[in-house]
Amino acid sequence: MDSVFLRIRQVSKTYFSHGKPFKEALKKVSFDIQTGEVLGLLGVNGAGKTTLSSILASLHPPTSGDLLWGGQSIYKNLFQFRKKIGYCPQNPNVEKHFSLEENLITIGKCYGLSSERVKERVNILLQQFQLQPYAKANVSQLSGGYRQRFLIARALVHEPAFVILDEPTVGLDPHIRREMWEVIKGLHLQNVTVLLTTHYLDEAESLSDRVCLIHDGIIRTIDTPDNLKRYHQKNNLEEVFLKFVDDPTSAIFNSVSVEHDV
Amino acid sequence: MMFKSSFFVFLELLKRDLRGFWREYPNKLFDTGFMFFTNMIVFAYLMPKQGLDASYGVFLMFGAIASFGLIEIVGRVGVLLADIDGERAISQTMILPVSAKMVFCYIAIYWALTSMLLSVLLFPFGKLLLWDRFDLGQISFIRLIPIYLSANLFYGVFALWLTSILKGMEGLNTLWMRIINPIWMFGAYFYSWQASFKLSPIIAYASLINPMVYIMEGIRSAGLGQKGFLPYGACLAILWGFIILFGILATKRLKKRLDCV
Repeated sequence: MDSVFLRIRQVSKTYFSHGKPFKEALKKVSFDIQTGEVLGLLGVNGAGKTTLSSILASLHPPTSGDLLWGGQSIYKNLFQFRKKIGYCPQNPNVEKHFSLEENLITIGKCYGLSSERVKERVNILLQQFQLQPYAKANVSQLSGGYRQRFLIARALVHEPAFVILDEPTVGLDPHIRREMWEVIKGLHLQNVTVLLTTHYLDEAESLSDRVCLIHDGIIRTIDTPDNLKRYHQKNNLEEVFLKFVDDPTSAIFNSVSVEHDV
Repeated sequence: MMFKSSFFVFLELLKRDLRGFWREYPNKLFDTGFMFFTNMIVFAYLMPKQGLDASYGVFLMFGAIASFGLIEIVGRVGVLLADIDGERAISQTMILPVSAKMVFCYIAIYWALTSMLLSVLLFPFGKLLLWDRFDLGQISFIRLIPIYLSANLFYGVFALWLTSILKGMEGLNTLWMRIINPIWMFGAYFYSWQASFKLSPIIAYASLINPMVYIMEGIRSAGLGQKGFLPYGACLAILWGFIILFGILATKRLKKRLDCV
């Protein structure tokens, strides 16, 4: 069985304004995401993390390149691929005029879950994310932290095999953050593949099997947190990242374990 | 398989949004009814005292029924624009197992349904207001239903196209002033196409590029009889041409604007 869940091949993304290219957000990005791993995606603001996440979630198409799932382009079997994905975006893109329960039920049904299974899943998630008291409340009535929890719950309704979490713990209280960590660890134990975009280095170090450093639309390094610390002789991932931020184009960051094109 | 999945999602989204609409329905119905009421009182009861033909109220009633849903739909353009400019809840829909075309189709049909749900009750309300001036028996329902459904579907795709061309929320004011107002005023709402022809054939022929003309003329020919209006069949056929045209344009532009797969 193929241990690679998704192969990202030569993916580029250029944004256009008035028909002219104004930003090359991703530049021929190639790497593999292993089945069941938690892959941390780190980079400064504007590095290309959210662009990459949204392309992997099939929200936006790449300008060039392809994503291979089961040896085939995801675009050849898009709906099947989408059924395997749960996406928690950075911005709270919620249907505010509906209750949490209604939102979750509709999403579950859209992914083809039976009515009974949807109810079961919704109850589990509301309980897991301590959202039961707000089940009938409109999403617009939730505070930022609860809204964030709801976004993660929504991404998990249909039990996806691949979860993309784009800064899922931003704005959460420290103890809630820790609870979210437990959720991600739980997904890991269930062999769910996770792409975790975060600015919290402790979070990335604690949760990620591998860490991917991205800068200016280019993947500079992919390796385990331990290997990175050892290689750069640093005590923690934060120090490695600070070194990376100081000089992201340095050869030392561009020579480690980046997967090359097939 | 792809279509089945897409259609299933389409139905689920439609069901959800209609449930949401149901909650605001009484309020919106009151607003639409109130606007209709004021129009009828002015044009059916006050203006005849100033010399206007007594049958004008009935003439205007069909125009109002055919077009008041558009006001509701244009309001929804603002909501969608605010979402696209803001938190983009639509992006959650775009990653569901559904094609982008089907998402746009669901939005247009949902908007058309809301427009219909609001304007359909204006028929009995109009009868109550105009009572013996208006005979329900003169309506050809076989003609009325297709043109009424098509008119509202047109508003749905037209509003979707408007969403695709507006740069942002600030464009909404311009939309009312430069697009909605002229197509309404010159869309045979207050007069028949034949009346404009009497004034100037050039103006009358030029107005044939306005889809509202076909809606107004088509619905009046179904409700008041063919005499004095453009041929019903032509109105329906041309209206469908506009539905297809604006549907294609809206899909292309929105797909580009949202940068979706």
